Amino acid sequence: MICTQVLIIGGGPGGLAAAHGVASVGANCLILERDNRLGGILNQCIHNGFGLHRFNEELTGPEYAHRWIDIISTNPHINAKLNCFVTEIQRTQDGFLTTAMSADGLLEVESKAVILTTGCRERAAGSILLGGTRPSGIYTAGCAQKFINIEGKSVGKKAAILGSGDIGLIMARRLICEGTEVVGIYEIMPASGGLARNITQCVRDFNIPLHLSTTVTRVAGRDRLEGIFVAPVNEKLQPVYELEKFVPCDTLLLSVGLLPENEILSKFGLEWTPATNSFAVDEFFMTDCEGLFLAGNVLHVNDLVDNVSSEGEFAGTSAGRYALGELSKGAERVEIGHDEHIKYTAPKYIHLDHEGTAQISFRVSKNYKKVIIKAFSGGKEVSRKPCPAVTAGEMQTLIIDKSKLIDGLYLEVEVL
Amino acid sequence: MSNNELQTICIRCPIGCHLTVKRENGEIVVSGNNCPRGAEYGKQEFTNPMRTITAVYKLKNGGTICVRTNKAVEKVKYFEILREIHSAPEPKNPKYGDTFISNVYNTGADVIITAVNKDED
Ligand SMILES: Cc1cc2nc3c(=O)[nH]c(=O)nc-3n(C[C@H](O)[C@H](O)[C@H](O)COP(=O)(O)OP(=O)(O)OC[C@H]3O[C@@H](n4cnc5c(N)ncnc54)[C@H](O)[C@@H]3O)c2cc1C
Ligand code: SF4
Repeated sequence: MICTQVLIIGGGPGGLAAAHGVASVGANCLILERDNRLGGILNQCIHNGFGLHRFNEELTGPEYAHRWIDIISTNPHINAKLNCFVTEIQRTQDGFLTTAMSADGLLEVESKAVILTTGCRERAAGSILLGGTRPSGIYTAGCAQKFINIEGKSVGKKAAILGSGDIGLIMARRLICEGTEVVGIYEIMPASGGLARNITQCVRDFNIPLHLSTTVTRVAGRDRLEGIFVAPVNEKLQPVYELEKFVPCDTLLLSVGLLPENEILSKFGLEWTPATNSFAVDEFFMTDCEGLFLAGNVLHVNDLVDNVSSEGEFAGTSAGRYALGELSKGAERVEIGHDEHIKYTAPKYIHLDHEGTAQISFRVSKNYKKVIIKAFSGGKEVSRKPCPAVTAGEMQTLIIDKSKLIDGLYLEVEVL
Repeated sequence: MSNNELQTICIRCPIGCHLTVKRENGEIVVSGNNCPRGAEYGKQEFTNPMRTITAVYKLKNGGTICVRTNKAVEKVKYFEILREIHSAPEPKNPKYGDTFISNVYNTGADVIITAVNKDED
């Protein structure tokens, strides 16, 4: 049995920053990571574009992870154990008892607080109802990314990609650079959800055909994939089967969304928020269960790693203070309200304790040109952020000075 | 898209202005930009786009080395640079931060190691 003040589950960027946060308030923590190294998904994201906010440099994923590992590795308050797969978390009288499978057998950890930073996983063929046979050659984009970038394997000769989010676009370029032909990227929506930068540098730079309002209807092939059927979709996003056609290829990458990896908490009876596919938290990143915190992609899918790091750090300082008995939550908790331009906020709740600041992340429901994001409390404006443009894909954040809160907190997007 | 005109989106700030870049009477003209940075970006993309190149070098005994150029290089040299990276001799004891190739393809940029992925056992 190991004892620690704060247990952090998952050693990706969220977990690393959380550890830094815990240590910064003088508490001890242990990170349990199932992989044989820290860094999480960053290890396989070898392209540049990470850390512009945090380090003022454009790093690759592994370099960004390396910087953080350097920051925490010399800190005496922080320990990490690799090859430990956490299988269960239980509430005890004065904290938590967590069970993990490790190379040395079963591991039990007792802690005052737990921070879950287990990231997310990809939606697979089963979850999008892809018709046809089940030949080899169909991968999720992230799985292919790992095979190619970390294991040095080749996934096929001629590939198609379903979904044009950033991971799909980045993988299209990786395949081309590895000598795999990319026959096309198929996107069911009328626009790509990827960043303009990735459209230019991954798709146009290599003349890859990007087919919008088009989807893959079924796959064909016995042992190995021999091709896919694609069809344009109507306004209701239903395929127009009369226009279906066959595209020969031996590989299909699925880049169709990410799901927070939070099933391990299902028996806690926490409040679920469908908009994020995860559980509700307050501004300390604490769930309904005292001492249980969530941060990073397990809370909501982030597009920028810098956001994950700042969220992790916030959760870490809160959990550290909680474990030391310094986090008073006696104040009233209210739900953060918002208008119809905002899809959700994380955190969902805030306390009227009038102390410190809160970081509120949210996504807007569609693309807008010029807007002002405003926060109100007791009819008074408490924060505002003018934005030259906001897109539905991109996460926004607003910092709230809690001393200004009168009753609740309400967010509004004023479209100019 | 012809060689005489480029339609692109400026990536220098989140506004993402839709730029049109043209050659008019020998001069390069950018329109659609909201500020001078967009004009600069449009001209660069039209005349000589620059990219940071990242790549994977396969190790003989399994695993990879991940690399990148330490500054942006001319996009037109993309595949030549990739070829030079892929055909470089395998370093004996590759480490994070090492220079893998100096002055790659005579660009003045070095290729540096960003990760080493070896099977430990
Ligand atoms: C396939 C894929 C590709 C991505 N590519 C990009 C990209 O190119 N650019 C970008 O900006 N963002 C990318 N992202 C988003 C990226 O995930 C986030 O920016 C960030 O890495 C999330 O950090 P995290 O710490 O929340 O999660 P992760 O980085 O996923 O870290 C979670 C960690 O928890 C560990 N873990 C999970 N469950 C357990 C358990 N039960 N026990 C022990 N350990 C556990 C995992 O092994 C992992 O190390 C990608 C995401 C995915 C899934
Ligand atoms: S032109 Fe200026 S305002 Fe427009 S996207 Fe580029 S940098 Fe931003």
